[in-house]
Amino acid sequence: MNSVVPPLLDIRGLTVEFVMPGEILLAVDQINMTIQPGKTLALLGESGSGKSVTALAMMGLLPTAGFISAGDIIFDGADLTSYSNAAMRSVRGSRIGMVFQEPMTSLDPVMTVGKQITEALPRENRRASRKSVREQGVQLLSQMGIPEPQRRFDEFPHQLSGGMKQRVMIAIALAGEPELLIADEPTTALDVTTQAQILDLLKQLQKERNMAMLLVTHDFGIAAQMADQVTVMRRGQIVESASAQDFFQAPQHPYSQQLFAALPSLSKRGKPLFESLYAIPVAQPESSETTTPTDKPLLEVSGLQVLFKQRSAGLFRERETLYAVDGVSFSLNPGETLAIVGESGCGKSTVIKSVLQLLRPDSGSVVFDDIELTGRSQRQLRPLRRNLQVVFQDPYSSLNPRMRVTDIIQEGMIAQKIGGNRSQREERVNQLLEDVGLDISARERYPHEFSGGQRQRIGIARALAVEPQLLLLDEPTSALDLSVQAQILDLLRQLQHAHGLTYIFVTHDLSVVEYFADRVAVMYLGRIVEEGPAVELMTRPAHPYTQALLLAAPAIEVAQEKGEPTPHLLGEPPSPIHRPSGCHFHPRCFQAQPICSLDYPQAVEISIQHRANCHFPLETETS
Amino acid sequence: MLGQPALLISDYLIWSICLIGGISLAIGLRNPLQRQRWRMILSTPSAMASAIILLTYLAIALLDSVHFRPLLPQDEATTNGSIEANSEQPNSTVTYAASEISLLDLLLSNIRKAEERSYSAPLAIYAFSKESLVTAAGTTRAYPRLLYGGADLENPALHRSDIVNRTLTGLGLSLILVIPIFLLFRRRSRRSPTLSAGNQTPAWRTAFMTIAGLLIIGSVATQLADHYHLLGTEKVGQDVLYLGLKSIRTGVLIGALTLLIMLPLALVLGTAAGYFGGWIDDAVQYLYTTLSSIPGVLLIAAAVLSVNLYLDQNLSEVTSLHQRADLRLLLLTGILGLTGWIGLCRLLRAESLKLRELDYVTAARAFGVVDARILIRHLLPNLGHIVLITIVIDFSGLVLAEAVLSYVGVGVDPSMISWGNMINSARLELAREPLVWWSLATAFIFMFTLVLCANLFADAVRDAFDPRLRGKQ
Repeated sequence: MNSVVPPLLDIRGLTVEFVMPGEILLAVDQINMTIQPGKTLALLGESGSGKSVTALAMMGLLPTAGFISAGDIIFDGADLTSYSNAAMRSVRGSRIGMVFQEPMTSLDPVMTVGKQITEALPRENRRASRKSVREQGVQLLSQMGIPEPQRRFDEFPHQLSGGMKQRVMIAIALAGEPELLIADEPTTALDVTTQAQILDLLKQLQKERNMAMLLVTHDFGIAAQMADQVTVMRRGQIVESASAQDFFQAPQHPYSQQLFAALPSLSKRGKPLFESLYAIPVAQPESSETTTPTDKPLLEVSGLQVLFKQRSAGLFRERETLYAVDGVSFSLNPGETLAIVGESGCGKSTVIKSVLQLLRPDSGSVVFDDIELTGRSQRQLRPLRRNLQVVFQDPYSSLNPRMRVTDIIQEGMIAQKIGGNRSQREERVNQLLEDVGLDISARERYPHEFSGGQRQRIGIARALAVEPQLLLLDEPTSALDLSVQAQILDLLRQLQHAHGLTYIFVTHDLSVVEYFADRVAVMYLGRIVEEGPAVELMTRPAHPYTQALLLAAPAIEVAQEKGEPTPHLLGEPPSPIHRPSGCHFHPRCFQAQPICSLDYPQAVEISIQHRANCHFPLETETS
Repeated sequence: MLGQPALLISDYLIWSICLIGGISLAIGLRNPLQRQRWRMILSTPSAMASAIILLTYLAIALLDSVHFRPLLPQDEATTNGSIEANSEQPNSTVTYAASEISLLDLLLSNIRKAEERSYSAPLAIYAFSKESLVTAAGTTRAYPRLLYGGADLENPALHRSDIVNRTLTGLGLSLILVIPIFLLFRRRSRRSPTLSAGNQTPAWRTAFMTIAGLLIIGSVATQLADHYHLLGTEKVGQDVLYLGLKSIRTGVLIGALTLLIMLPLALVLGTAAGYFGGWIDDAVQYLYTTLSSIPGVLLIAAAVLSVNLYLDQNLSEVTSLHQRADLRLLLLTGILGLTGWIGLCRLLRAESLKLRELDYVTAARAFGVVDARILIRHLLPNLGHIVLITIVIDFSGLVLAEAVLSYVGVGVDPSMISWGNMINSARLELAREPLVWWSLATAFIFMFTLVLCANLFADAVRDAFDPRLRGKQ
């Protein structure tokens, strides 16, 4: 270390243990790290690596079962581990601020935003007149980039959007003007475009206040964008610690390298992400983009519309209508993967449910293999259901905790009356478990005995049990860690080639899309705004919204040219009840013209199979 | 052969509830997660102690639920009103008593038959009030000796030492049982490791202490009750301990049967409303909001009174006193059940609303699994914890409700022995001077123990099964 400035935070040999019934769990194992004033340290790691526990230990906020068993946390020359609770309170908030992951639960729903902010002001500031306290709060809000701070000051948390709440959380954390800000996954619960805004805000605030930051994250892109130093944790230990530049150019530790390999990206298309001895070797398929457009489409969706009637606010007021899906059309050839991309609330999961006829569309048609699915009774649909199956996002709610794995997988076979008698079905369960890379002994066990990734495999096996042709994947990897996501993506690719499956892959993660999909449909407020071949669309987006999404996704490559701010989309998606007139995107669009607020644009052919609904499609090349 | 079996309807019901409960517990325990939860419950000392005491109560209630008509000795047969059983064999006439008694009655025949003339205090040898006694010296007003309480005690001066002696004998006898049990438990707790990961050991120490305590109390009580009225006698001279023990069946029966009636109602209506939604939901909600807006006690009182009138007019000749009381009890549980399902139904509806949106239910629908099967395979098992928690919490409430209703006079049949009736008669006893406190005290102690144990056990069950509380331990 050639720096003469003493570090603001110096953690030496910190060990945190948890007392569990019957055992003692080592959560953090002798870690060392330092943060210089005004710099950002990114603490990278997968779930359970001990990164959040480290952050909580620094704040003295460990849950009752946890305790620091060894090590020092030296903050500005004083050892925080020796502080009493009362002494810690004087450090917390005023010298070290913290922002949590979940903005929805971190704010008190019965207190106004202003009250919660002014509560966090330093004591001497709080003693001032009511008016000046209010002014300070309003000023903080406006510094956070919250429009109309005077009005927002008196609002309650439920009146704010997720991004706004996170801004308020940051305002609270910064009210005491701390020298160190701990941000524990500050943007994980937010959409990509909102995430970009929050990260910009944090960067700007850090520069203004010369504040040090400990950024706990699992996202390599965020770390690359924000950090000066990177520390990688795994199972409570630090495996690598380096400057951001060195780390992102050449990670040293095999674990870091493995994580880098697991990052899906355009350049890795068609190659496995997770190199492992256990990976099932599959013959490299010829490029999947060879599917010729002459193929008869397997699924054709046209003019799909799903409306939700809201409960009316008053007796005589008209019921408001939410356009969850509005005029969505696409077709899908056998063996193809279509990715549906969009931010939360854009209606992508609703598309899946209405294709499956679990949600009856209000209009439009869904034709599967020349059979119209809409308007059929449940009884008529039953035999058709085996062809379309679904895999869900949340591996914890997608398996019934009271059923054994074998019963879970057999359920579909029994309902569809296939798979023969009991012993034949058991046989098939064994085969399926093997296909998805699980041990046969898993059969008799219950879901809680499995990890998230294993549960997702069980979910896939359950869907495959009825030999579907089309698999609808509803964010199948977004609840999983990076390395597990890589394994699941590899598995899905293998299964696609082994069984000739067709996928609809719903996601918000663009890196997964560019790695995995053949074609992409981008949705905004219930409509597809752009559709086209994955590579073309990701490299040359025609719709401004697609471009904004691509820019907002934190990319590792940006690390080199840091400092130059990228223009990010402002604001947040409007409510699908009160959609802007004309092109729904026009209020946020940088090139909006008067016509955009009048007419919804017709689809414009950019190239073969590439269409965009925009009056002024982009022609410039990004990437 | 003790006599002719004459099971009452409630006997059949209580035994079948136990059977159903046992079977569903056995099925539930096949799931390792469930097994772990039950182990967690039993590792809580208070829950272990409560479970053992509750099982004791249940055992007494079950013993009291095997009714039969006892065989009458030949000479008594002619004098008592009896039923001719085997009339086609006149030379070997077997006769049975007209009224049913239970196995418990048989076990307690000593204190059941020891009827005094009126009140006597606990462990007394003299009656509670003075009577005119004719002695050699003439008629005097004095406290007469009791007919049974301490009857074989020649010298009244030895009363106190006799009680001490018998207590010590009881303690000594109980040790004969307690010591082998102690050794058994010590081996048991040695064998199971004290700290193993995620595998809580049942609270064996508490279990031993509770069982030992129960044995000691039981043994001492047996010794004393054989010769005295341990808890005194009531107005017509019946032993209060006997009444207290007999009331257990009534309390347990009210709790269990009512649950049996409200469970299916709440389950069917609650899950249907939550899962199907739409007009079914509207109808069920309408039903329970209407029902819950009628004052509960009023509804129960009206129903009980009108049913009683009907019973009096139509069934008075056909049935025995016992059977009539039994019918009234069943009706009371029915009415309590019909008014009591609303709370559980609400909970189940809310939970079903949540469950039907879960992915595994969606997955089942995507397979084309029929609704009935989804309800049985996916919803019901995942509602189990709510049902279980509600059952154990409501049980104690129902035992208390019986007491309140009987006290008001709309509860069980006045001829039926129950804590409510005991408390009802205690109303007058407390107004006397000197006051008769033991009836009320007995009812209180028996009921308090049951309700306290049920509540403690309910707490442990809730801790183990409520997902919202998980992770807070």
